[in-house]
Amino acid sequence: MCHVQCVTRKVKPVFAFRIPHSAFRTIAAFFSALLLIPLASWAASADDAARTTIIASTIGVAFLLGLILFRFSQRSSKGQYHVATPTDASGTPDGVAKDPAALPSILQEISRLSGSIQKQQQVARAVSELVSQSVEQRVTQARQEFTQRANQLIQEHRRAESALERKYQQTLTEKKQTTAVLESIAEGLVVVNPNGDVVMMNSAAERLLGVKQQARIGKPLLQDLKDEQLVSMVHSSEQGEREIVVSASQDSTKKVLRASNAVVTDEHGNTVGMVAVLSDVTKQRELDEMKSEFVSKVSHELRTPLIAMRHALSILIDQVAGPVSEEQQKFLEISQRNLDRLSQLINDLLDLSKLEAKKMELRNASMAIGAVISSVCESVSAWAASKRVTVSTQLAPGLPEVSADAARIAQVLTNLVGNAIKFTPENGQVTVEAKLTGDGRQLEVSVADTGVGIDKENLPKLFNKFQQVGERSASDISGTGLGLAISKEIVELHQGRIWAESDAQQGARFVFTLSLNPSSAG
Amino acid sequence: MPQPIRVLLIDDEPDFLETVSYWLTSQGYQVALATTGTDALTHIARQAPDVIFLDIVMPRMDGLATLKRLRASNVMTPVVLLTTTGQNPSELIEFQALGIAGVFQKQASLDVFHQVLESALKSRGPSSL
Repeated sequence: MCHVQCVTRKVKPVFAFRIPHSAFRTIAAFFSALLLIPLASWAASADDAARTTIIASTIGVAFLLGLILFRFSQRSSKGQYHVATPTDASGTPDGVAKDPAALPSILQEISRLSGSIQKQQQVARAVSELVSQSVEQRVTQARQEFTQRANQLIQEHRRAESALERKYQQTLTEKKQTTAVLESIAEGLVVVNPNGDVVMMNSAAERLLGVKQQARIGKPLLQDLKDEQLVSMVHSSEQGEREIVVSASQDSTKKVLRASNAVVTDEHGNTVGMVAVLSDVTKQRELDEMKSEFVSKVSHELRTPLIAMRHALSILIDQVAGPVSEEQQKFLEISQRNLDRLSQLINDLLDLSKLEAKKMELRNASMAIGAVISSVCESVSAWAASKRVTVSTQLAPGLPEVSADAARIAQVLTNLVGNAIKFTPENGQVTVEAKLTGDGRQLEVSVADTGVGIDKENLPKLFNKFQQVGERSASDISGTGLGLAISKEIVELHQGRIWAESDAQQGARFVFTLSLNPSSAG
Repeated sequence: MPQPIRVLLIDDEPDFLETVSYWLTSQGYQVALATTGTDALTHIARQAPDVIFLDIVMPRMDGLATLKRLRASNVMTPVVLLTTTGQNPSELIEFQALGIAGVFQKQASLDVFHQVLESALKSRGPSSL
């Protein structure tokens, strides 16, 4: 327990005393003797008033004596030690030390110094030393604790600082890497904000668009570019791919760029910009052109010999060039059949190549689907009869005419009906149906058969090139594996849809739709 | 006995010419052959046919150039175009502008050839008889 208060410097005790018991006895005897004087005066006096005064003063002196005795006995019995230090000229103490525990050592010291003032001063100095040591110790301890805590805080701060630095460096490295990646990719990358201002573009984009990034950042992408397609690219909110043609700034050549757009949204789904990836497909387009030319050339070269063979064979088979024997006839017919097959394959390949290159033009005209269905069914009737397959039609009454290329739609229907007959066993049934869709906005044409059907997993593959998913009889050599792929292209060219439905062992149903010609729908 | 109908076949493919002309002759037509546009023009200058079958794709002077020269020389004989690939409608626009009587896809059967020929002859009209 500390009894020192407000001690901040070395203390010099100025007041310290103890009255020994022998001196106290002398003082007590002196005061007792003083008491006898008024008592003797009282005995000699006859006046009552004087007596009262003497008694009162005697009691007062006795009281004072008792008080002094009591006070000194208290202090000495408790053995407390009291130290006060002055702070200024007035001598008002600013610190008081009370320490009962130190008393035995002090008393010991005092007795050793045998009461001289000089010794008492030494005692006081020693006490002061003790007290100041204790104080100093505590101050040092507090300082050490403080220093320790401060060091701890500094270390924590440094750790946080270096962690931050590491994070910063890491982010910087990542940013550099990202920039390096973006700069090294061959595709142009343009990021614009919702206003169409360029936020970022890599050097490939600069090259492709013929602009400098520094001049573009923060500006609308198309401030100086006049290409309307680019404008639509940036302003279009739709995602996906499109091709745009831009003029190179240096020369008059045109570049074909494929732009894949993606809208960038934040976590709340708000549009924060758009990323466009630009790739130069000029070479690809040139190759496509070359391929298209090649196909056209090859198709002519392939067909020409077949045509000559075909006509030569038909002259023989028709016996225009003279009679042929039955056996000769049989082999001539085999040749003709395979020639037809080869021609069909070449025609299909060329059709498909044309369709895929978007080079097929439609001869659209108002067309009655009923008439097309009838003519197709009629053309296959002999074949169906030979297989004992019945082909029937179901036309919804009052079907409107549609705008379509009748020859191409007939090609699709011939293919679907031909397939149906091919995969339907004897005594089977093929039904061609035409009706309006539920919403009345499209014509739906379907060809259903009673064949073995198609497995569910094979349905999506049906419209792939050279895909044959069903079993067909060995004698049936027709079919190129391209029919459905071509049908799909033709239907899609008409903005229609084509699909197949089938339940195992329940036959298959091929359906396509055609948009109604608005003018003829009314 | 009526005068046989004179058919001029212009094509750079001799095998096609030979088979078709054999068949046409068997059907009673009088057939002349030309393997180049220049040959055809020489032949026409000598004896105008009743109907001309003209191949579109030919080396040097092609079908279009030949037809232009014919029309420029005021030869208004009906011309049927011979095509191999399924020509797109736009590719025939220039021919149509010069006047054609029909199109025959060479891989089609000879029966079809016959039909196209007959319909081309009908298109001649009385003035060119």
